[in-house]
Amino acid sequence: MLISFSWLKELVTLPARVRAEDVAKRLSLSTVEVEGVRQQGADLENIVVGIIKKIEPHPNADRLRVTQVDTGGKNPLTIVCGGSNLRVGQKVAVACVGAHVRWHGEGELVELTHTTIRGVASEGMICASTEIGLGERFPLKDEKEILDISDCAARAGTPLTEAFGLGQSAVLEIDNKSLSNRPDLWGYTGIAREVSALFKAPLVLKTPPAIKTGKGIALRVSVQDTVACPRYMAVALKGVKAVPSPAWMQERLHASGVRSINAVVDVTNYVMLEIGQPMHAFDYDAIKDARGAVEIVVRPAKQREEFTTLDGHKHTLHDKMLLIANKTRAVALAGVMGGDLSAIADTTHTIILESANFNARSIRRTSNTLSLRTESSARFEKSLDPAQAEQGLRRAVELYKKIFPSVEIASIVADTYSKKAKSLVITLAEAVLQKKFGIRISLKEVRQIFERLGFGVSVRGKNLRVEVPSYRARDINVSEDLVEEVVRIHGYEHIKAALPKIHMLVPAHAPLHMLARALKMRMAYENKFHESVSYAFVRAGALTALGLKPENHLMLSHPLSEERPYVTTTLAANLLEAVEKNQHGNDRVALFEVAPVFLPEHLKQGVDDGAIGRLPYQPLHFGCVYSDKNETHSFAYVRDSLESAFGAAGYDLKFIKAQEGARWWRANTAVDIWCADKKVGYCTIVGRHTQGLFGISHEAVVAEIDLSLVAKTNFRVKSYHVPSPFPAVTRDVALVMNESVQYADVQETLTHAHALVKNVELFDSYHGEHVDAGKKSLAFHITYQSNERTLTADEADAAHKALIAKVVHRYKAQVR
Amino acid sequence: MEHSLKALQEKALKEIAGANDIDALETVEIQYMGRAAGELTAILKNLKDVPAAERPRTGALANEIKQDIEAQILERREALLAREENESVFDVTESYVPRRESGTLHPTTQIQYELEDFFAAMGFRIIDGPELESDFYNFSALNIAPDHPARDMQDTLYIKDHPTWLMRTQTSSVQVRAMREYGAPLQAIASGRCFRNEATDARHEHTFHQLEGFVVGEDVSFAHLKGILDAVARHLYGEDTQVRLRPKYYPFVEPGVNGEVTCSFCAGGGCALCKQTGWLEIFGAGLIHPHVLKEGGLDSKKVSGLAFGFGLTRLAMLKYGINDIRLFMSADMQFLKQF
Repeated sequence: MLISFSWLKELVTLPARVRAEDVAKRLSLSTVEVEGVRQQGADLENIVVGIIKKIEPHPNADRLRVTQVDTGGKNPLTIVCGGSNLRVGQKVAVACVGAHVRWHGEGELVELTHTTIRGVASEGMICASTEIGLGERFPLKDEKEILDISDCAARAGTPLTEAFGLGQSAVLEIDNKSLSNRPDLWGYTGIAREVSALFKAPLVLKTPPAIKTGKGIALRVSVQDTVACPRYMAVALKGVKAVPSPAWMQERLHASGVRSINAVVDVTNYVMLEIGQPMHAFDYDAIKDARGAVEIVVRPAKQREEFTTLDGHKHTLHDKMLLIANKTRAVALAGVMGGDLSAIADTTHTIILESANFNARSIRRTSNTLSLRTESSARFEKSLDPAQAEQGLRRAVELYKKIFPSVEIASIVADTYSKKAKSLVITLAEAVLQKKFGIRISLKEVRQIFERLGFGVSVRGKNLRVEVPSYRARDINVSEDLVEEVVRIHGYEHIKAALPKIHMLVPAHAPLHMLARALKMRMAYENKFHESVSYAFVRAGALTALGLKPENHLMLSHPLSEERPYVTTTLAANLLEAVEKNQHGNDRVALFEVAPVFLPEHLKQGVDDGAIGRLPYQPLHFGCVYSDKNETHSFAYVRDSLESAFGAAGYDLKFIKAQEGARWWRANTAVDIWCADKKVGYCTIVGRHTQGLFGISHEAVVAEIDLSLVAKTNFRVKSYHVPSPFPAVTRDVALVMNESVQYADVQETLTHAHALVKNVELFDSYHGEHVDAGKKSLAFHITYQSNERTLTADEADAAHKALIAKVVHRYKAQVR
Repeated sequence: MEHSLKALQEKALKEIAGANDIDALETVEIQYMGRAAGELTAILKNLKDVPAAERPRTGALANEIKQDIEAQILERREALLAREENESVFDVTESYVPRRESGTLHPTTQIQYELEDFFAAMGFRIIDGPELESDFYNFSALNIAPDHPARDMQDTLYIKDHPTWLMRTQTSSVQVRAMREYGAPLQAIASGRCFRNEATDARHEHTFHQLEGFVVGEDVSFAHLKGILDAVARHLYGEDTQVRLRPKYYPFVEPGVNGEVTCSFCAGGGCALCKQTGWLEIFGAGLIHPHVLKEGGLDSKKVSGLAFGFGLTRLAMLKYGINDIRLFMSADMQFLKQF
């Protein structure tokens, strides 16, 4: 919203020293966000009125002319110009050297310099309206047309700002989003009220007189849905004409970012800007019936009813949308936009003026559904004050009378408002201000703040009795709201910061949180995985590739993209997609994620929904994926990473070969992961078919673990052994055995093969040409150590020999 | 005897000084000090043959000479080694092969943990709540009326066939859950993913991270809110950081403010990051609305509360100068590896 500072100053008497910037700053700190202060006319510096004295052809270009232009100086300027409507004696806007213009109305502002065009020196530029930011005000009819300002009385050399009466007026740019809860601020009056309170400056508000009922046109209004339309006022005015409105009105509309159309329409817009009340004027001839009477019906649209708005767009409506109609047809989309057939035309002499109140939700729904946002709908969807409708109508009539002195009221003033809302009275205790804000402020000062904001106030001992004005009924409901009014006007900067005196709490035991955090640290900093954070939503294709049925998933009702409508039950889907995305630039893709999954079928475990039901169960999952082109033992890498990361977090995992698993797992490569007595997850190599479905080029290992389950098992306390003071002896052994023998079994056998075995460590695992087909070689470092004495070489050798004998016998192995 | 000892000393010292590498020095050392055949060793061994009267004096001299020679050898060795090292070439810039790389935590996780540690040290309890929420906890309990625009399908992701289920739009949804579970007094924080029905571009993302904090208890005031926000701002951006509060409407707080801090890049002078204002908006905050306290089972006449929320994603963008929000959810290792 744009607020012209000069207009604002007519509504609130500010001391002369207060500048627009000061108002902007105070408003920003206490009321709404002011995005900037623009000096209107600043862009028009060095642009003056010129009179064309002479036009000659350009010697080197057919389409250009060489002109002599009087710009008030001693000699006329020579200016090369390609304008299509040049004529001698014409008044034009001349940009002199140093002015800023936008070439052909496009791109950035460029500073004008002396230049030579096709061999002829040019000392300035005759501008088109779009080149100097006046395109809105003077729309181009033809691309090559220059701005003709012959109507203007100013002499040659007059700065354009002066010629147009733009002065150097400042405009405050207010962020509309910051007004969402303050319908009263959608007009100059509301902003002026705030400024009055902030600067303790008097408000200059004039109440327009009541409208005297007239005769001539029978006007009737009926409202079929009083929820959607709490109030509808209308009156007929005879003797208006679609002529240009007076300069002062055009100027204010323009400064506020609204285009001037004609006096009839401009008044409605002017009232909307001033008071915040959207208005509409219908052409009487277009909506009257055969007998000259007007019967307005406010009714819901019929299903699939068609309506053409005055911008020429045809809309198909539904029955939740509200229309303004007469007996035969619809004439306006209520609160959003009028219809094309009843728009003000050159022939208009009499109007039906509408000032109504519409339900915010209904307007928002209509405007969203039709993607049709207007100044009117933007205001109505904030919940306007029904009382404002009457002020709007009165003010509009007052303005019409001013512009068209012979205008007549030609009907009754129709008003459907039945139930006047009772104003709310709230008691505010002085103590609350101190207790909740730690500020000391006198009741007198508090009282003044409320009075300036238009509240009714009376003091009752240590309490204030505050009556909320109707235009604040929307946002002021409880005493806390009143406190905010005082504090924000007083200024948040005056509240002294302090830390609370703390009540110590016993910390809640949060094993899941601690597990997740420890796990993340270990996975990243020890196992060299990168943490990924992804969407909770997945593609159908990713689910089916993992053997999951999309229909068993929760779905978004309005998916962000058609591509990812499902709420995920597994982290594997997004992780596998990430492998595909990363594999081209990275030989090693190692990612993990910790995030909840959403299981629709586990309602009993879900938390309460605040009503009678429960939400879907949302266990926290850990997932990781690993695909490394230079690694031959990816699976073992992942499994060991999980073992060490969970182990460090205090949970021992067991990996047990899966007897049956999902179809997308590579056969024989999957393990179930157990923690204590609970099966908590899996780890597998992705089956080759599924790998292809995800477009992954290299073998990938995936693991997924339910952390919510893991955290429910008992946290392990680490055990420790007394270190032996005696030196250890190491012997190596390489064993060749059938591939079907499991490493874990061999490891277990070796560890318990002899009392002196302290540690068993695999250092090589080999398949290939140096062992027979169907065989593998495992090589171990075996550490022998006693807690009582230094072992002799003989003792160690004897133990090693016994160990080898045992393992060779048990697994039919050969020593290599 | 004395004379030959002195001669030996002189000869040995000369040869030590003349030894030009470690090998030559070792040869000299063996020649004089060798256990088996060293010249000085031999003399020391033969001391017993010296007449008793001369023995102490000769003995003392021999020992002195021995220590002198040993000291000179040590010194020469150090000099020779130093010379050798000085002459050697060593590339301190060479990388270890294979290259050592660490994994990384996501940038929002890092900021989340940093803030969790900060708040935990101030006595806040770390809690969490469901991402798929009910409209009650996400909206009604937070005083967001049924006709509030935030509830529109255009703004919120609802779950199909379950009209009361939605993806939470803010971490504030944990407030009433926590009040019901723990009562007052309570100070707690919660962080995690939030969701809005929004088209994605460089500055907008439908999934983002927030951190919510709140305090409920007797006498919790706006001054305390300011105190906590001051402390966080200084923790994040340094001791000189200022906080500025401006009114902002959130239905679940009254009054509601947005909090800005002095821009950490230009120290308030105005730059591209803060759009020349000198201030960066980093949090929303306020005193908890009585309606919310009531839904939390608390008596707003006895208990008051403050609440504040940060966009973790926004903090990370500011901290690292990240200009495309989509990178956060991209799982792109080129991005992730940098943190």
